[in-house]
Amino acid sequence: MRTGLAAIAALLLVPSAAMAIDYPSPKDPGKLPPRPNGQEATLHVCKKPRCFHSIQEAVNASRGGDTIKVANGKYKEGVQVKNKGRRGLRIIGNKKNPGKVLLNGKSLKGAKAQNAFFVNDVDDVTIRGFKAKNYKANGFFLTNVTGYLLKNLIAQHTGRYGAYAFNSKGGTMAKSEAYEMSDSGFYVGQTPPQSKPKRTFLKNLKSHTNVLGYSGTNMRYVTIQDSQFWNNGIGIVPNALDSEDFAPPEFNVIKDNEIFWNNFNYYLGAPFPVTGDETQTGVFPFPVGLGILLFGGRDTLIEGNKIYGNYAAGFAMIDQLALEQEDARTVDRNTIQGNEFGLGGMDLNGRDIAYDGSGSDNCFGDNGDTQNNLPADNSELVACPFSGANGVNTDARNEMIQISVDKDREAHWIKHPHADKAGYTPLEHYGG
Amino acid sequence: MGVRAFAGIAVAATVATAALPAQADDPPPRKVVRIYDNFYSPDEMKVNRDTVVVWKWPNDFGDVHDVKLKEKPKGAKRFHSDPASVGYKFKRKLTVSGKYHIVCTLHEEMEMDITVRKRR
Repeated sequence: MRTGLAAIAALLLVPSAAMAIDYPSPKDPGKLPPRPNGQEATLHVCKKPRCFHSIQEAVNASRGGDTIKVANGKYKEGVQVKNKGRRGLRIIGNKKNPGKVLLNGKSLKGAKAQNAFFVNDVDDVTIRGFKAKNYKANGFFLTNVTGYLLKNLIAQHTGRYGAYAFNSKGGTMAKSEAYEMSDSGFYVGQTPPQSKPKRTFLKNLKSHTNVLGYSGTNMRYVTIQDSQFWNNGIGIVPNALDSEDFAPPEFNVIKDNEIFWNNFNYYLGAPFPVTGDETQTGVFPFPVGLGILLFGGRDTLIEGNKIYGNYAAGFAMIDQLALEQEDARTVDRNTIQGNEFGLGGMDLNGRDIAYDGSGSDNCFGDNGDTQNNLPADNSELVACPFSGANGVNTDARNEMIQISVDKDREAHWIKHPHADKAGYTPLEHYGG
Repeated sequence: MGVRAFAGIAVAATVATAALPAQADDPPPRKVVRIYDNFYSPDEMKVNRDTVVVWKWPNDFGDVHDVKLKEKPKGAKRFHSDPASVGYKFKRKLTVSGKYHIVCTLHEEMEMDITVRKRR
């Protein structure tokens, strides 16, 4: 969602006209191979003579419901799964130790260098037990699918996104880790509205050392739970943008996560490429130092999260001022309750809650003793349930905008010492 | 190289020069479209038939984009690039005159038009 946040400053911009489009059928899905006995098969990828010697060869030979077992080893390929007939295909590496089945994009050229796995228009594909490294676009990328399982995966330095599901309905990302992404570790975007929604679950994820831990442009029916987001520029960002269809984000749940130390100022150095010429596109950069940011969106439940050590704010919410689709700009009917801020005083956020009062029916319930909120008089923290316009506090709004657009990403930080956490080291400035 | 061979080359060169405007071996004209976040540059172009259009992704930094032919003149073949972020290019020779509408399926605001003229 690179072009997005910026959109706060995009008060100054005039967005170009959007146009609804259809979404792609597979470019060249090819024909499925014949199945001799009509049974689902297990295909093996390994170095032995009877095995397929690449994952792509096995995929090309597969049909729906087949299982491809991939032996430990290093693979230099970008795997593409196309053709609807491969529905239910399972591609399994090493579930207990994904790092032993490494797809490395380094030295690959062309399309193969872009995505470790790319699934287009094939439903219910499972990918488990792989590590992807050094790709240019994405680690694990799915578009136009209904249902998927991404589990036991590691994505390191795979371009923009670690695991990315676009224009898809339902699915699960679980027990996976993503780091060193120039956008977000995990991303679910442009979820089509559905009369009988299929939820997407993201759980037991670890996302760190990215621009964003999680980003979801126009996401809906997504539950993010039991996961950790730390050492990113921002931890979690549901957002409304014109660049993708189906704004705004809605009906999402963010619960029982640990969201801490998201103060990675990658602008001063990062293990991934950092933004192009912002002046060329009129795009402004993301702020740094936020735990959760709701940038537009409605009917979101944010509950039971531990949010601490984020220097700008633990939780922030503001409408999407520049969205072309005017009826999707506001933040409405969002509930923020039962969260714990500041780790019991041991690891404070710069501000616990920053909310300018935009939108309506937003409420805050039982979030413990919050401190240094914006606005300082807590006038916007209305108790749940609440209905009606929340009422904009102009000073708070202006301050939030200033935090977002200031070229000095640390100018508005309020720093506090972090609590020790075994196995974790805070990252503010990259030195590696 | 003997005299006859040289003469043969000279004749061939003369013929080739005379036929230059319509020679089949001429490389087709090329036009480059740059891919940025989130737009094609240029987003409108007019080219002669048989022009090769090359879409080039940036080398350093960019979001994930693709190139899909959404609307086409009758008889033109559909195309759709892979999704890519940086260091990639995709090309197609446009052999049928008419209007082509190109979109990025990942960013609905990103689109371009190409008008292919009959070569004079």
